[in-house]
Amino acid sequence: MLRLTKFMKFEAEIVVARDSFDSSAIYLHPEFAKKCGIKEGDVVSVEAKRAVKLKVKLSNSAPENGGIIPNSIFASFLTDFENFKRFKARIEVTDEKESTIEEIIEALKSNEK
Amino acid sequence: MICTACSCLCDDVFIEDGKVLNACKRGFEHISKFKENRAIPRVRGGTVDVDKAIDEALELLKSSKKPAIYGLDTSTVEAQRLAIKIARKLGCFIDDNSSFCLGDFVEMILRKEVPTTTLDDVRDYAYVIIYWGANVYQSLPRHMSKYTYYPRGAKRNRGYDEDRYLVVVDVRKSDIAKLAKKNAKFIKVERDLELVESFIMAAEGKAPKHIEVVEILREMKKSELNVLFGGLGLKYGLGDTKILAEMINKVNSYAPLAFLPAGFHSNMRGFNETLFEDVGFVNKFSFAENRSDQRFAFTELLKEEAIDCAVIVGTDPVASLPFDISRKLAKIKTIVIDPKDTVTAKLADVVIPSAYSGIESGGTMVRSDGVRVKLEPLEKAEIDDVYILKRILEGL
Amino acid sequence: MPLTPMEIYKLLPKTNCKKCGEQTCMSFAFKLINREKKLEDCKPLFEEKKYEIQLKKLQEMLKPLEKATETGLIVNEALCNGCGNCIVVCPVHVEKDPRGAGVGKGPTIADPIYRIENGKLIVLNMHACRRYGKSRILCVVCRENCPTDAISFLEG
Ligand code: SF4
Ligand code: SF4
Ligand code: SF4
Repeated sequence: MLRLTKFMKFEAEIVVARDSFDSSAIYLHPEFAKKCGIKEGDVVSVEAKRAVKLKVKLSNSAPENGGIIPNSIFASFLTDFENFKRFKARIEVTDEKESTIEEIIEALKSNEK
Repeated sequence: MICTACSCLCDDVFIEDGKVLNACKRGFEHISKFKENRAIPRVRGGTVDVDKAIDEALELLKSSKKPAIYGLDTSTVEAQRLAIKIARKLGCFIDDNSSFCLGDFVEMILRKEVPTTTLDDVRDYAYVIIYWGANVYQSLPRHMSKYTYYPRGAKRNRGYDEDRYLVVVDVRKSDIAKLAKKNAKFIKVERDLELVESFIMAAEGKAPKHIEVVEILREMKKSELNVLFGGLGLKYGLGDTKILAEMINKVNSYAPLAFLPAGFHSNMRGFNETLFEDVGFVNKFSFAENRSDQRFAFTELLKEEAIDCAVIVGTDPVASLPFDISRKLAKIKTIVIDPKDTVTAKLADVVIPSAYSGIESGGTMVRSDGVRVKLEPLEKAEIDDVYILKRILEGL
Repeated sequence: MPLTPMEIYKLLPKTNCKKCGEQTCMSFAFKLINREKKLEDCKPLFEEKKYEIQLKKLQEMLKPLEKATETGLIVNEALCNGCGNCIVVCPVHVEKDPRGAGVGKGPTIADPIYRIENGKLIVLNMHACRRYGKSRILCVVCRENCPTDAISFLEG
């Protein structure tokens, strides 16, 4: 099915949370998700300093113009220290699979910047 | 048993008919899932036996010029002592999570720069209870119900709405801020320093910017014990603890106020105390230079590429450090001692599987208020932090 | 959020047809909440196709009612992190278990109203709650001290 929102990037406010969420997901605010045409269960590419692909879940405690990423390797991968707790990212629906921890470890080991 | 999932170290947890009773959700997950995702002994990705892993760790340490030991916040005091001995023998760096958590607060207390108290006394006597930058509902789930605001205490037996005065200070309306209703205050702060200054001014009898502080001080006057719990929000909001110590002491010239940290790793305070007893500093210490310095904090050492080998015990820095720093960690030799197959373990050169303190292994931990607690493990694993660290110490 | 009769009323046919045995749709809404009537008693809702969407919404809305105890209590497990505030503040616990729940520990009496099992609040003995029975009072102390509103009551 052709999805209108595909290939469209949305600017999102991301908060890194310590709370006990499932660590391999991004929790979008339901209103924000609706606005962007993103559904629960979609995989989105989240791009800040680097990019990861995460499964979408919804949560009302997410910021209204974005989402929460649990404090995990995925959150670390996206950010640097200065704006660790809150940062802006671009979000886009993708057909690809979610990123795995192993992929990130590979990226860690490889020396390219 | 004692729950070791956070620094409350709750002592009323038990298992009955296969159900975990009284532990909060965090505690339950900790206790019920300890068998999952366990570390296996590995050397450079290949599975080996524990002896081989320990030998390999010894080799790495012996050939390292600038090693560091890091973590230990969920290990027992006994294991922490051994780790300090190893660091001394190697003349290397030792640090834990408290260097970017609440180590400064604990140091302030251990140096006796501010008055402090115990959670038991808070329960029995405290009237004004201030949570500053600490949403304990998430970090220390049972803190308020077990020790501070809600329990009836010896001198505080009429319940929270009459016998306690709650103050919550935070940048946002946190979970616990919602509980500040009757006989309580929620102060939303953008700049913590302004509020600190307000407390100082009010204690000096001047009109403060945050006027509600005057009423809080007046309430404090009614009791022999009031307490301020400082969390990460306060630490990061202020940056420097000097002004905080000044504030607490100024307030004390007017009304009693004790200080306690609200940090969460089960035995982080234990690490701070154990190191302090030995060398007079709470963290980020170099045995080569015999002093503590911000530059010796583990993240700084990585950033500056000041170390070539790290022993990481019971913590998962790669999961939480910024990627650029993790990448530096990936470049040096790493030895992980952990019961869990952490992200850091996945890229370590050597992995030595250990046991969960409090569940599979006994010993002592120090609660966030400095009270020592003897663990009551369910099992007795042969290989735990103490066993591994002892063998490393002997092998060096 | 506690369910209000008004929210239910809005979705009913609002024709006051009396087929349910009540004088008005509003009083039917009240009875629904008190579980004295069932949604099925409102015949038009099921028979007439134009109410289809409203019916779905109502069924969704009333789902928690099935889980409510005799005192109208609903615990939303997903929101509870087992902090124990509700247990320690409950005046009944304080009175009956002064050395246990009263001082912040897990309950030490055999039949507490609540206790934390596997990290979640469990209702063990609703009969001891002040909201139970004839001379009940609409106590809300436990609900008031839950930081995440995991506890709700159908009324009050
Ligand atoms: S508050 Fe902390 S120590 Fe107590 S049960 Fe919860 S996680 Fe365990
Ligand atoms: S409603 Fe009142 S009596 Fe009943 S459980 Fe809650 S606090 Fe206890
Ligand atoms: S107060 Fe709320 S979160 Fe805490 S145990 Fe009770 S229901 Fe659960």
